Amino acid sequence: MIRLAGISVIGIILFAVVKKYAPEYSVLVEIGSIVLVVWIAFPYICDVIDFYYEYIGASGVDGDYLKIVVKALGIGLITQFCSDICKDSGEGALASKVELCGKAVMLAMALPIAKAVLEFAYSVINMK
Amino acid sequence: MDISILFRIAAVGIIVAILNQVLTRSGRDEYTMITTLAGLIIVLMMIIPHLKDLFSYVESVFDL
Repeated sequence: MIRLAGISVIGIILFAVVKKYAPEYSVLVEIGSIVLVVWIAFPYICDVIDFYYEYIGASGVDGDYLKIVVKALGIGLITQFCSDICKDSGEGALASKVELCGKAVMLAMALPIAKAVLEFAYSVINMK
Repeated sequence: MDISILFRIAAVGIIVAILNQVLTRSGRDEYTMITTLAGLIIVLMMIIPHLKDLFSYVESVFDL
C-alpha cells in the first residue's frame, strides 16, 4: 500500500512537471502511472476471484453464470480504465462513447442469464 | 513494471522540450516537429509492452 502511495505521488509530480514543458507527454506519464498502480492491485483481485470461484461455485449455482459475472467485472474494469484516461485528457465525448460500448458488451453478455430467468418464470406461471 | 518507467518517460519529455528550445534558438525551427515525433515514438515503444502485459494479465484473470 505504501508503494501505491509513493507511485501515485511521484506520478502526479512528474505529470505536473512534464505538463508544463512538454504537454503531449503528460498523457503518457499519466498512463504509465495508472498502469503501475493497477498492476499493484491485481494480486488482490486475483485472490478475490479464486475465492469467488471456489466457494460460490460449490454452492450449486451453474458454472457459466459465474463466468459471465466475472467477465462483466473485467469489462467494467477495462471500460473504466479507458474512459477515465479519456476524461482526464479532456476527451469527454470519447469517454462517454467508450462507456456506451462497455455497457453494450456487458448487456450482450448477460443475455443468457436473462433468458434463463425468463424461462424459469414462464415455467412457474404455466405450472398453476 | 517498476517506477523507473515513469522517470524514463518524464526524462524523454523534458529532453525533447529542451531540444526544441535549442533548435528554436539556433534558428532551425522545422526540426522541432521531427524531434517531438521521435520522442513520442520512443516513449510509445517504452510504454506499449507494459500495456500489453497489463491487458493480457486482465484477460487471463477475468478469462475474457
